[in-house]
Amino acid sequence: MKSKGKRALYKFFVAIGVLLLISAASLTIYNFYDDTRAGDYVSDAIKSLSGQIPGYDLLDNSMVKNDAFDGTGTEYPDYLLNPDMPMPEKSVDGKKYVAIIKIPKLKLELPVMSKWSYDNLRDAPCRYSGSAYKDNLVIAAHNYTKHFGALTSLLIGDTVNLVDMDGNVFEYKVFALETLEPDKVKEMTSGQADLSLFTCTIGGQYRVTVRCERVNKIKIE
Amino acid sequence: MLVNKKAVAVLLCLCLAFSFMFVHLTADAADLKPHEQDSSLTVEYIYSGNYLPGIKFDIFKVAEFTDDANFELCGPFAGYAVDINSSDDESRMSAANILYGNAVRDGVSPGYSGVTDDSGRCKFQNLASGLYLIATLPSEYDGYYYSAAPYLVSLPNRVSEKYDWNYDITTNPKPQKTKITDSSDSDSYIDIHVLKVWDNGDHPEKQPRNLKVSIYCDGKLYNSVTLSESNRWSHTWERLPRGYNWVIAEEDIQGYMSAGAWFGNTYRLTNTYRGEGHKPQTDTDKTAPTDSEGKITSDTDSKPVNSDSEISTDSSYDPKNYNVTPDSQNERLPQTGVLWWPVPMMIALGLLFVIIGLLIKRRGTKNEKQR
Repeated sequence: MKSKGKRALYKFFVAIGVLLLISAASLTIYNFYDDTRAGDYVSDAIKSLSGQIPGYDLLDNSMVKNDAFDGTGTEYPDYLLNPDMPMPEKSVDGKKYVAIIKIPKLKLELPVMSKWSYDNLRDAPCRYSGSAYKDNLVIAAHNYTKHFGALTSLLIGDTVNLVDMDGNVFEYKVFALETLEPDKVKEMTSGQADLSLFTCTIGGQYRVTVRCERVNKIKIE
Repeated sequence: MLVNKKAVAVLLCLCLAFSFMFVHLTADAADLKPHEQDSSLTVEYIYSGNYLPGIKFDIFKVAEFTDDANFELCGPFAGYAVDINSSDDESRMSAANILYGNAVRDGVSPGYSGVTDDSGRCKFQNLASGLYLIATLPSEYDGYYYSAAPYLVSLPNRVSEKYDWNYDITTNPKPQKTKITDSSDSDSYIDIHVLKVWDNGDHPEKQPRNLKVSIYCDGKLYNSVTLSESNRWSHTWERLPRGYNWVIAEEDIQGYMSAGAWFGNTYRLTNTYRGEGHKPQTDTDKTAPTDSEGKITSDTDSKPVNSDSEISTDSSYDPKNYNVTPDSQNERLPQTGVLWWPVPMMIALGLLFVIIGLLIKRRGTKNEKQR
């Protein structure tokens, strides 16, 4: 009787143990699949978007030098003359995007969706708040390897570039990295940085945040 | 009796004192305005130290002095929703652009026209006091087109805070030049971009859903477009030939003040909501004073011609994303982590359970053998 009981107990523990190991393996496989899926999604989205953005391949200040009516010889993008204007959007597969973000050090080139939701975050980085035109843009993304997974590798002085759907280029330099608690919404969106990028730490408990300031701004002469 | 006489004397003195103060105050008010005296105006065009002959310009009287030495729009310009009493140069330039655009739109004739002589000057005498708008017309000289932004000049000009007035004014518009090239050269054309900006304050509901903006060529309507959110309140007229007087004007908007500013090729039209009291011009007298001293010549034969065109709309544009902010300050930052943290826990627990199970099995086998 006793041996029967012990046999049952042994089977129970082993079964639970094996179940847990299978679950761990399944979750691991699913995470790798989801990571790959997310990476493929942004690659496809970039291919569609980059063809729609004028002058995207150049990635320099998109000032076009023309002789002006009043002879000053310069031309200014609309956002400079009206920073309150909305960032224009382009659609791919029914989803709306406002920018492409490039982080050369991490070899990242990612589309940025116009509005965040958990569904949208599964596919691409999303604008959480603000506008590039008002120097208070905040972008959130999952810590997928092909999204913001390597954000913690950035150092002060690293370059981040943003291109809006009109082809205007915004250059930034990282000036701070910090970790915020999830309830620090006000701190995240306070506008202390021209551009903020954030994602979860590995455990999901905190938010790794990269703060950037704009450089090489176009000036009105 | 003596007390009564004293009281009367005191009362008389007080009355005299008040009268004196009253006269003094009214005299001060009268002193704010310039005296009723004509002014002379010399317009000089200088570029890099060289005086420019043959430069054509129009002059419009747009406002009269008020008693407190400010200005009030008059004649055909009365009713235009423009701030002409701002002290900063940028606002006055913006007002001048709007006033000139509206004058062209409404066919207001200039009060005076001039052409600079060989010394680059043109002088007008006996001009009544008021605020004048000077609009330079694109003029050719020595292989270049010269033009200048419209601007406002006060006649007379106040030279100090004590209301000293200068009745002999010399003004120097700042001309810009562009080289005259063959019509086959792309540099002989320009693109002009118009951008509409709304400042609605606390009344976004007052903003019109669309607005007509027109561009004029040498005083004649060239093209009109309707701006709205669908075209992001902007439009570009492409390949406009140089050498013509291109002027942009919008339709009047009730409750809004207008300002216009050039930034390179872009004309930014800003409308600021001021309330229902600001009404656009309705019945206007389009006839301006006609005491001209010269005549503008214009080449009407080769003027570009166009008609109203359809604007293209960008259907992908959605203005609803303007300045997105989180729904609530009590919100938490979204969870953006991939679910990795359970994996090591499950592996550890799984191994633990398996080990415990194996240990139980091993102990059971041992006990059986011992029996």
